[in-house]
Amino acid sequence: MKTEDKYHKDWLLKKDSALSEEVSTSLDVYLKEHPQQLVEWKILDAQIDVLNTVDFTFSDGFEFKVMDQWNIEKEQLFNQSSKVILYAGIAAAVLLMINLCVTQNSLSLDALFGIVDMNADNTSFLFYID
Amino acid sequence: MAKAKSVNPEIELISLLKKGDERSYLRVLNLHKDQVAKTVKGMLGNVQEAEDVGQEVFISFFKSIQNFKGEAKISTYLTRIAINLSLNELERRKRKWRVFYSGGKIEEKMVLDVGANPIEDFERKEIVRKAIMKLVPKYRKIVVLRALQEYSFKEVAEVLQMPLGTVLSRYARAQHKLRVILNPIVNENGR
Repeated sequence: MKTEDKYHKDWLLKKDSALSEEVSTSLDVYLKEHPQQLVEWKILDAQIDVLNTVDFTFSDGFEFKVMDQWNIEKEQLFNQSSKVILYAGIAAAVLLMINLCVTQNSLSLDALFGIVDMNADNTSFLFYID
Repeated sequence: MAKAKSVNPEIELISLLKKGDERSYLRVLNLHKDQVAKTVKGMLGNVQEAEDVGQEVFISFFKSIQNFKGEAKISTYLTRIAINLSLNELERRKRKWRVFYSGGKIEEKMVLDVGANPIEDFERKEIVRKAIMKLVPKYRKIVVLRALQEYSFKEVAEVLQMPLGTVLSRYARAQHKLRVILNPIVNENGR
């Protein structure tokens, strides 16, 4: 046995044409037996319709405010991305330098430029200039 | 005769948005601003925060456009963002109110207050606006989508990602609650 609430839901769905024929017929039978119920539901609906009389719009120039805001956000996003690339580049350069120093087995400036001869006694930069 | 290949205008619009076409952003704004206004103003009232949330809705959409696969319509997607951001705003307001009111059921109290107030004290539209505000958010969002956006119940369920039965139950409950608030207005109009 369906409750009144269930019939109400069926009636709401029927308004959207989303009710099967069988359930729709059962609803019609119920409403024939309880005509007052239909009046009640229609009153509830009329109250909801009142809500549609209210004008809900944004203020003038809303779209331009959004576009201005969007351009600021885009710039910030771009700056952030640029910073990420810059920091990644700096980090990579530092790692490369450390790597060079380690492979050259020295922390000297010569080693940093990769011009040190590990087998030679002369590890000075001047050695290569001479 | 070769048939002209028809391109779904929405897919075309999304493609242009992904390319960063400025005019397409404006087009989306012009096409959907009223719909977003109904949602956020229906949820939050006609206040400045509603305008701010409205802006945030579009900015969030633009930011996520590269990930938008077009599984839902732009309108559905925007409404979903609008509902979520409005609920966040309501939550923020609630937290703010808690500073002043410790644990009182504010919304329930307001429903009773409006029922007791004479109509003459308010403009009719103001009462209607406030009537929606008296509903707790879980009912309000359904009424906003159904009554203001004129979505079908199936669409409401889709936007809110909840079962159809829950949507119908909450809508029916909201109708009864609104009756308490709006009855005087409807009677006045009927006369």
